[in-house]
Amino acid sequence: MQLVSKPEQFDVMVTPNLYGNLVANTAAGIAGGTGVMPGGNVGQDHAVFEQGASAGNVGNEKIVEQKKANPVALLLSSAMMLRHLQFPSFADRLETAVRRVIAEGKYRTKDLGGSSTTQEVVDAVIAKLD
Amino acid sequence: MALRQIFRRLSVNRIPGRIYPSLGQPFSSAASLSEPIRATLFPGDGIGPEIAESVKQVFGAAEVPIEWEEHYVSDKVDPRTESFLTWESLQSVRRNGVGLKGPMATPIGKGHRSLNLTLRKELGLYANVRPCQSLPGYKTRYDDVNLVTIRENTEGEYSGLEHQVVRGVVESLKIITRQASLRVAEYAFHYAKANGRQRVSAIHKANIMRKTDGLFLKCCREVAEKYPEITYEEVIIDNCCMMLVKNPALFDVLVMPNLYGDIISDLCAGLIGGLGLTPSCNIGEGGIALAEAVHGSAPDIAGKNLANPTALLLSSVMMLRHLKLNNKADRIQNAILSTIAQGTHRTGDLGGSSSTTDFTKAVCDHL
Repeated sequence: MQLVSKPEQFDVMVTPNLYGNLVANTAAGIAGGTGVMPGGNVGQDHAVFEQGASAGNVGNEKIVEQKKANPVALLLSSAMMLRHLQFPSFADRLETAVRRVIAEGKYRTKDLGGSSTTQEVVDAVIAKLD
Repeated sequence: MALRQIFRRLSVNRIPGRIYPSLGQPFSSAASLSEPIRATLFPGDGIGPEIAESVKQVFGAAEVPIEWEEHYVSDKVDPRTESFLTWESLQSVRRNGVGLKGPMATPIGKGHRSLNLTLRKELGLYANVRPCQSLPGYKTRYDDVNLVTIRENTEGEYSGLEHQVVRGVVESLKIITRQASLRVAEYAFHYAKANGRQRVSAIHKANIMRKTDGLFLKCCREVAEKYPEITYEEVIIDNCCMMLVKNPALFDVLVMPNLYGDIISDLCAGLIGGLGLTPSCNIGEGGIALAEAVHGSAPDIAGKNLANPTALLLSSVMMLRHLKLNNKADRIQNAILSTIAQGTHRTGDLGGSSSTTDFTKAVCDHL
């Protein structure tokens, strides 16, 4: 309830398995959906990065065919991976480019209310890289 | 050892006879009642008595044929109930079949059960129903919420069966029974039909918890077949959370096991403005209904005429609907909604500066 009414009061949340699933999806929904939330899984010896919220945007044949999937989530997850590998400058450049593209609002996939394809968004991100 | 405990619990909970609700109950013939219906009232603690007073005033102004039997929590543990709620209070609810409960602060200490647990177990309250509707005029991020959460309230993850396996490893048993699942599913579909709802969604995580949530779903499906006019769907809990915060208008009636229900019902309360505005009603065996305000007793503003009685008022409306006094229920509900929408008489928690009594009077005027 607090997350839904006043999400800004939270900073880092650590939870057990089930609650974490629910909280992550709720938070992702508030912040824009599965298409934009990054995530990572960390283990003793390895780390695997994937999009943060598990619901929806998964195995949807229509999106794949029409090439409308949102690449932002995976791009930001890969930025997290770069940070994990201790390449903060690369991570920053990638994240800044992605943020600029979203802020500009011209290239957005369907889940963000736009009509661009995946490739168009990626090209826009590359164009904004400095 | 744990198995024996489970079986004992299950056999205690077995209720023979019909599964369900107020269809066959004596209070179904609404309009022409010559004598008033008796209902138990637990004003509760803190702001409880003030908001209970509001309810009484509004009911009086609307000429609702209810006679209140007030009961208070005592300050001594009653050995017959093992709690601060006396046997007489519980008998009163059993006899009357309906009740309204204000917020109760459970006293800290050992040797007694929590008040809510006592009520739940003694009255066999198996379904917690919370309608969540956006209040026109009170803006939150979500304007079009109109759903009802129905939560199974007796088993599931809250069965209380936890034990230590070895040091540092603790196990908890999640119990799902066919009987309890059928019971709550029956109520959910009955409620949907009685209130003109189109869709019932069962919320689950059966892809991971195949047997427990799987059984729950199986029971829901069985009941769904008996109500072909109501659309039935199944939504995985994490997807449900995401959809609720992105587009709550997608949902109508949700039915869920205990833990998910706990989380989702509070989440939905958050969507419309918090627990101070959310009504709730607990349904028990034999058609008992105990409506309650789910917010706390707010001791810091108790006695200062500042409390918002909306939650308790809307809960009392739910109680009236259960009694099939739909006319009165609609009148009172509309009065409350128009008062809030108008915006001139709002209590502090909604950003206004009216007192409890001013708000109550405004609602009475709107009747």
